[in-house]
Amino acid sequence: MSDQDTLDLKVMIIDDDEISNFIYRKVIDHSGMSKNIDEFQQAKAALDNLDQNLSNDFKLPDLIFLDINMPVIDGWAFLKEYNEAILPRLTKKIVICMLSSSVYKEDIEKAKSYSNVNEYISKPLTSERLIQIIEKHFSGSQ
Amino acid sequence: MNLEALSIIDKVSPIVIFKADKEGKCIYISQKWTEISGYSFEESIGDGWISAVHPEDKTRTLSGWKPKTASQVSITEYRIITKHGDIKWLVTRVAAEISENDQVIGYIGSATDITERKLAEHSLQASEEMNRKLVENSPNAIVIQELDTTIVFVNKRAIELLGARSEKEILGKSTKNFIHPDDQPGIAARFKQIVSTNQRGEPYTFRINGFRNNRFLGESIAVPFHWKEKKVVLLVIRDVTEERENLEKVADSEKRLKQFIQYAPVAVAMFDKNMNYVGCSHKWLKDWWKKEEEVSIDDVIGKNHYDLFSDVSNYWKKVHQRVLKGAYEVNEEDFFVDEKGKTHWLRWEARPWRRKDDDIGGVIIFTEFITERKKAENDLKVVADQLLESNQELQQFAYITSHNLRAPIVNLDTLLGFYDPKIGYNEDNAQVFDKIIKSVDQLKSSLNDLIQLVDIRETKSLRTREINFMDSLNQVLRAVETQINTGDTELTYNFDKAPSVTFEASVLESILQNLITNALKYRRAAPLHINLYTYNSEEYVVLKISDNGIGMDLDVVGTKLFGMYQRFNDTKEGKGLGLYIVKSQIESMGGKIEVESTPNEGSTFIIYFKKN
Repeated sequence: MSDQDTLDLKVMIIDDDEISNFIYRKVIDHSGMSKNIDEFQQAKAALDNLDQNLSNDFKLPDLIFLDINMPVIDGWAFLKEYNEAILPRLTKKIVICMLSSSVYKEDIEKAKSYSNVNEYISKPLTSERLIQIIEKHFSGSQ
Repeated sequence: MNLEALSIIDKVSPIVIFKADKEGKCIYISQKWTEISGYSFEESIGDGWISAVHPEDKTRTLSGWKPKTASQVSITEYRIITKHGDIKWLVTRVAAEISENDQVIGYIGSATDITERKLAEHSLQASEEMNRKLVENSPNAIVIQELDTTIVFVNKRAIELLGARSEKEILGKSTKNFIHPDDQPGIAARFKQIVSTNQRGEPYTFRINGFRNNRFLGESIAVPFHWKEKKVVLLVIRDVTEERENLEKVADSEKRLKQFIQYAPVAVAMFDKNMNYVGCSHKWLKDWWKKEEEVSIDDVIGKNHYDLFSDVSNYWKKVHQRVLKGAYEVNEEDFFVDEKGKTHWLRWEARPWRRKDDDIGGVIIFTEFITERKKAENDLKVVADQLLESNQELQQFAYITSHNLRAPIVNLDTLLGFYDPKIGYNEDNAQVFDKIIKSVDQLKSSLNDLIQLVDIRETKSLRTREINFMDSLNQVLRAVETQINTGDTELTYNFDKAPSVTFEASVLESILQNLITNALKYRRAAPLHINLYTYNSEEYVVLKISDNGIGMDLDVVGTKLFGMYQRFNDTKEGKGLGLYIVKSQIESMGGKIEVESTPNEGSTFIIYFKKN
């Protein structure tokens, strides 16, 4: 846990459900791994934010929590746009973690088919799951 | 008799006169000899004449031409070969010339040319021989009967056919003995006619009962003629038992084949090279003969297909031509459009048929209408598509409802973990508590949606009645009164062309409320104008609801517009269920919904209520 004590990750939450967002915050706060959380209820706004900060790694997130089920631009549409417009211009490693209330196998399979989706979480996000993810992607080198 | 006297007789006689000395040397021979043989007097006297005698007859002639006794006249028949090489028959009569003291002093003879008689004799013999052989070896029975029907002659074949041991068993009996009783009257009548007209009768077939159960079917020709100075009737009888049986077999098998084709429950027809009917099945005529007048198979046989069916298309004519050249063609799913514009589906097969010599004799065509089957297949496909669609919809339904029910529950679970009952009221707990209440609201709302959606699926069983659009609109307007009054909103309507529709009242209200609420929700800053308009089409009562709201880009929204839990705007409240419900309600009642829209100009929803 010593690693996490010193960690200060930048986290981006993209989810239209305010209760989910409340939970993310609570869990992340509790873990102490980040005091820097950006919350977006619309995927479009998140994409714009990423686009604007492409040249500034410091402002780009280390970890994105992405909900699948959203109006207008859903999680899949976000990924498509992200892969086409954002990813090729990135210099920073961003871990993407997809979340959904769905327990459907199809969603999990689909998420796994995206090479840049690092994790898939069936809601809710728990402290245990969060720690797992941090240890997997952010321990050692940092 | 001296030689002078002889020469005088010679001049008047049609026969050859000759004289020989006591040694038999010819000392005189008349001019007639030279005429017959071509040999001169000088060549013939002495032994000269012997060289004219046919070599085969020489010995016999030389030893026998002279009489053995003085009183005897010797008669010899022999052939000569004339100087020209012809063969002639001569008969020579020779008597001895006796002196006064009874001494043989020479011979006097005559020779007559009997060639013509001999030839006639021979040819008669030959023809008799031929007739005898013909009769004997004839494959037909030959019987001669007298006018009282007594048999006077039978040949070998007749004995054989009648099963007799010899002709003795037959001769002297009446022909009646051998004719089947049932055929006797017919035979008697013919016999009478042949005798009275003296004309040969036409071939006639009757049953013949011989000896020892030898029975056969005979075809006879009766010829009246004179035989041994008596008027008789010659019967030439041929055994046609086998032939008839074969013919009958062929006829029978032909008949059976014809029946087989006629009654085959398929449409099949056989044509010759010129497309004339050789045969066809009843089903063929039933399927293809569309004219008023009745037609039977016998009517069409021999007739030309193109004459009977004047509307045979070039397509078929080409098929026929190719098959006549040896092609085998088959089409499992073909169709044509009849003169009424109706499409008929059929499967067919056309192949050449061949004669004994393997030449193509014509075409055999088989057809089967599969329109019904095809229709059933299509119906099935439509049903399958509908099922697929409805299945996909159900899957979507299950997916979304499970998601929408699961989401608030897992949130509740997590939130309850955050809530610390030991602390009691503090800011953290108050926040968590607020989220718990919201989650419960979400859960309640999702459950209500679910109940409503299940309700729609049972709309079909609802009872419909005639509803005035005006009444329904008034109900809805009462519910959204506040919203309309608070904004700058104008609502107009015209239900003159179709004032009412047969539908379920609560469903119609739900549809109107959904669409009007949407119009109110997705308005621009400008004053809102909503218009409702109804009219009748052939199949539907149509309701158009137009607004001048924010509109949509249908290229982006597409088919998702009417999908479940689809939201296209994140600045407005909504669960994305309204239009899904409207569509489900309309479709469950046999109608449909369409939309026209331009971003920033407005939308028009067109609802088609199915007429009964």
